[in-house]
Amino acid sequence: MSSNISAIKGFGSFRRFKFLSLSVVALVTALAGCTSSPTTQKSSSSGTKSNAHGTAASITVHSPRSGVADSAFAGSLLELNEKTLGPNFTTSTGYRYQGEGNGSFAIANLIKSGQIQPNVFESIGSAPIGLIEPKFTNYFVSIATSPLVVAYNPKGPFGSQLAKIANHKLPIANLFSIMAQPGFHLGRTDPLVDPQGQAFILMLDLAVRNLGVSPKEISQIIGGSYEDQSQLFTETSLDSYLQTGQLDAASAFLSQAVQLHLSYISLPPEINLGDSAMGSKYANVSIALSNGEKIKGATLTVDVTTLNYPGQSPNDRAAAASFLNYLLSPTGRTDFSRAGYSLMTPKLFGSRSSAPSSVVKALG
Amino acid sequence: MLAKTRTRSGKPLGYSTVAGLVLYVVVWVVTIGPLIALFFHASSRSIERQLSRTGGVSPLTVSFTSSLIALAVVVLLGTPLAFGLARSKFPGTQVVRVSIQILLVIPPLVLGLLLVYLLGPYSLFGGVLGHLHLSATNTFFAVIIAEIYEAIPYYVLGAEAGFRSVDKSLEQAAGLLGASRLEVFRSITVPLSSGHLATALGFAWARAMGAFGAVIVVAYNPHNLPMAIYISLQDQGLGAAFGYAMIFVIVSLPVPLLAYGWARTRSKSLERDLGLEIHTNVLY
Repeated sequence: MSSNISAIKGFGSFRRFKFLSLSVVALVTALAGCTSSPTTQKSSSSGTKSNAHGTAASITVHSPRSGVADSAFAGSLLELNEKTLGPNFTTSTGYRYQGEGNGSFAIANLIKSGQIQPNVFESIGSAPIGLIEPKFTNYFVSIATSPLVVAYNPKGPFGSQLAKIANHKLPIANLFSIMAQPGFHLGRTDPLVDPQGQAFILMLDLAVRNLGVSPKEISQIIGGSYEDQSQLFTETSLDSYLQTGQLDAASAFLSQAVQLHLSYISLPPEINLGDSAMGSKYANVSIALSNGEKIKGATLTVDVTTLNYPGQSPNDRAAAASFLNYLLSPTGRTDFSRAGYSLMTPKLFGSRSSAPSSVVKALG
Repeated sequence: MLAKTRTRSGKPLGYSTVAGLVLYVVVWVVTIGPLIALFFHASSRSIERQLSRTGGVSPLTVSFTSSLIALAVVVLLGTPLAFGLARSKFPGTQVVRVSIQILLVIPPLVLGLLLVYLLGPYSLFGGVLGHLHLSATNTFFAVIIAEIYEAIPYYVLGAEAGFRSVDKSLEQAAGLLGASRLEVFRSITVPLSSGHLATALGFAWARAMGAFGAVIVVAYNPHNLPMAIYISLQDQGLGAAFGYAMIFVIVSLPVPLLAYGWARTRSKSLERDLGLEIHTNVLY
């Protein structure tokens, strides 16, 4: 405090101090704008913005309506929601949109404890939605799948070999022997709290079953344990490490790799957990986590539901239903496809009568 | 009623005094509102549950030991730096001060991202560390590094203010009496600025214990207490997170409070003793 005061005195005049303060505020604002929070990220849109792909041009612009679609979504859906779905939804329906990104399980826990009250929940996998049933919802709609890929650093010591695998000049099995090498820096997310971290381990088990990769190699890749301390990062820092060239490879969803312009290796459908037709094959593998939880292999789907609360405004409820309908519309599906998600025939799970009638109608 | 309520000096309390007191209490309650909420929502059972889990004590140990080490480094590096800032007339000092202030205003998350460039496995320093079999990614060492960067500006700027508050004539007098620079620093400058130093140390400790933004980027593991709060929230929900939050408050709060209390006592005793010292010096 006293150093601040002496700094003010040092500058001599209030005008100069004001200029300094404004400069500091501008610097902080600029720095804050450089990144996003690892915990919860919020934004809103109410105008008639067009998206990066220019699809807004083909959307009928509606006048503003009262009601807000307040979506809580998995962190990997951040870019798609904030830059494309939200603005396009507002343009095409007139409803306001606001979004909030976090880990799917974290969102479910926050909703459960009443800390947040979104009216839409977009989750990776249905397990997080299961945590808030039946109090807040009784159904969900699977709308797309999110295949797993291995993102890599093309400039690292293993970059050229990994690029050859990405370009199909080397067989995919080589990926596993390279990742098992000593000195290979692999990053992945925590299987205890993140569906992607769980999916990566399941993918390795599927590689043993379907590609003939040796279990010994898998053990070397993960450093001996699912929860090996040196390999685990949050999703945000994982991407940062890879983009700054400080890792050789990292787990990623295809959508993330596409949106962040990362170099990546596509994995075959029998191990990438992104093919809805291979659900039974994926179900053959499972992992037991240190917290006692057993995770069974399943297709990585984007599952969406609308949420109900006592005293919720009818306008907000209508806006939430409208948002889900937008995701099911041809424009919404195109947005998903462009962002790297694999489209599937939308399917409603749970109680049909709990879903908004417009959503049931849209699903046919 | 008001007229009957009297102060110690016997004057009746006026409406403005009462309004001021009410406002004071309201502002205080609002300010510590989140802390009140924590005490209402966290139970001793949630603390017990967290600590009795396998590895449940580890975040506490990691935070405590890493913060202690970080604080030692902060004091070792920060004290000469702060003294230089307070005393040096070199024009470049201002650049150093601004750079420390930038560390203070920069969001800790950004700091963490920048540390990736500086200390990542394939960076220049990361390579050097690798040769020494050290890593500044996902290690206890990484936690310490992140905590140092988050805490050091608080200590340096606080300590600088302390050194500035020392009357230079006392240092000069000691020098004239034959004391070396180090002796002057040890027996005049540090004791006279000890109140400021203690407060700065308290803030730096709180910052190191609460380090999260930079830690989450460079050291997801081993979990320190703020990371454990974050992971518990994701994995087990709010109740579990509050358990660690209570532990955090219990462990980290006493040091700044003690430092503040000690600083106040010290400044009062200095005010009293300094007069005697000055007279003694003058007489000598």
